[in-house]
Amino acid sequence: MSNSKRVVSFPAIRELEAEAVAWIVKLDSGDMSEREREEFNTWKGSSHHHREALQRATTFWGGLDCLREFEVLAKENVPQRIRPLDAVSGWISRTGWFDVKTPFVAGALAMSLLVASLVAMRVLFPESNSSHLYSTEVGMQQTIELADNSSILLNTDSVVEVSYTNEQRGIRLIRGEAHFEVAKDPARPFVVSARDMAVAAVGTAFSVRLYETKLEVTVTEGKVRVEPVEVATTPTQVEVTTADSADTASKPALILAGQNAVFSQVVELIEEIPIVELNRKLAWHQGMLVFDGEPLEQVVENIARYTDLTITIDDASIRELPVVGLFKVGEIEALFEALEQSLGLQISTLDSDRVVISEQASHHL
Amino acid sequence: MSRIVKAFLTNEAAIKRLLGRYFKRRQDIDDVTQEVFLRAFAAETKRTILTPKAFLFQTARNIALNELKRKSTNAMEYVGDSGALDVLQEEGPNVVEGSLDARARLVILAKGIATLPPKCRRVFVLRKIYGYTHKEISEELKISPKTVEKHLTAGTLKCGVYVRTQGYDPVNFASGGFNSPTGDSEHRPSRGSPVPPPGGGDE
Repeated sequence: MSNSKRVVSFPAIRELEAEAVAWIVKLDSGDMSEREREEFNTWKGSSHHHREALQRATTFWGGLDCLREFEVLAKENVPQRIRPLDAVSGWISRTGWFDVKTPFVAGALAMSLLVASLVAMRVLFPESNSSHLYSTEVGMQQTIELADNSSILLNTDSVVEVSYTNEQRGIRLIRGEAHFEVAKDPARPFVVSARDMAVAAVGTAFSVRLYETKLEVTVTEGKVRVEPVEVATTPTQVEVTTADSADTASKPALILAGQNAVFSQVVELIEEIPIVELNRKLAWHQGMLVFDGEPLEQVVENIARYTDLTITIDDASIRELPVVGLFKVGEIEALFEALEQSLGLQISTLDSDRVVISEQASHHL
Repeated sequence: MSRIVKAFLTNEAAIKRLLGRYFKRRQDIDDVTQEVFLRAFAAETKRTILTPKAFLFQTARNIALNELKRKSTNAMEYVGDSGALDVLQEEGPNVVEGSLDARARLVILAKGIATLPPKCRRVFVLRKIYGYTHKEISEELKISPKTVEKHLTAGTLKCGVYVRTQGYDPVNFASGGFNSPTGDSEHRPSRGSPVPPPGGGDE
């Protein structure tokens, strides 16, 4: 190509992209020879275009983790509250293949189909998969006891993947919020990853919350290290970025007990938080929500995680209204009542899933 | 293309008509249709569905009935991502905006995956949906680790291309901070800068 060196044409970008993805996949395999590693470093170091392509490929590959949601969906495929047998027999009789009249025959047919599909699943998906997914529904919380005596408390509407190996205890927060109580085991680090950040902890307790674009870590005990990972998809193989250290890319950060940190790609803010506020932030561990003067807007945002009601604030003037109170997770009605009675707001139910908070009209009369 | 996605695309209008018997609001119908797609796609990653069309309609009925029951008992149930509560319009969606985005994103990725050749799709699904390691995939499907890598690379690139044809930048898209394609912004404010429409010098 006779172009000036600064100009990178589109085909070249596509080519770089393909190379970058191939390297990411190679890293993801966890099986890289010394020579390949050198080649990789050379490739990565050849220009900022290469590094950029690698960064993009890493983000895309890591972002594809949202696909894990399909495993949850596949498990839930027979909708709850409908017993598998009903669903299957309904399905058979509606296909029109069999004109099934007697429930006995229908049941037997359904049973054999069910067994067949279970057998097929066993053959296709033996227990070779070493990782487990745990999830909670909106408004639910769940404690997961792990084999090493560590535990995870999953908050509302959250998903984690646990994959323990001999070298590492890997946890991936796919959605929502979780609190970890980590049992000491220096030989096997406890590493929580979420998107492209990893939180490594030793004998400690901390919470991680995943927002649309940010990650928040609150440490209650011990200390944790947060660092970007090169390939976030394999908890068993956390690769600390080294090439990017010259760029704006993030460096490892240490967060101590009583501190709270917010990240996106880089550490945005680490702050000490007073014990009272710390307790408040973590009240959900006890199934409680505590508000101490937060603006109404923020309160609504918070409770929205625990209900599938859509809650709107109608008047801009009340968005900043401070709210104080202690509420049980899942008892949204009580909170509405409190807002009505103590703040004099009006809660109107539009339909079964929409609620509007507005200033009471009578105040103006 | 995967059988279930193909069946969905040919029968989408009929599924919506069926759901019209259960729901009045267009938004509810659209939401449940999306859910039918996602669940059917998920089910197909696990086993072969012999009668895709019948399966889709039965799934639609089940979800519709469940949804009605859920609404009437007011039980709390999973609705999707608990994103920030940004915008709520009069005729807006009935779930938190962020959750709709996360679901819509899954639909696009699923359709992208559906375009992959069968072998490649199988490897990609085992790695990215079921969390298998490369080694486990190579043992399971009796293919070499090199072949696993080859399929994963091709799958990732093709998904990226598909996302681009839908008007999104794959990078922002996958990491969650993605934007509406231009033209879809009537009901929601755009988050960040829009990406150029597909074909804008891409090829």
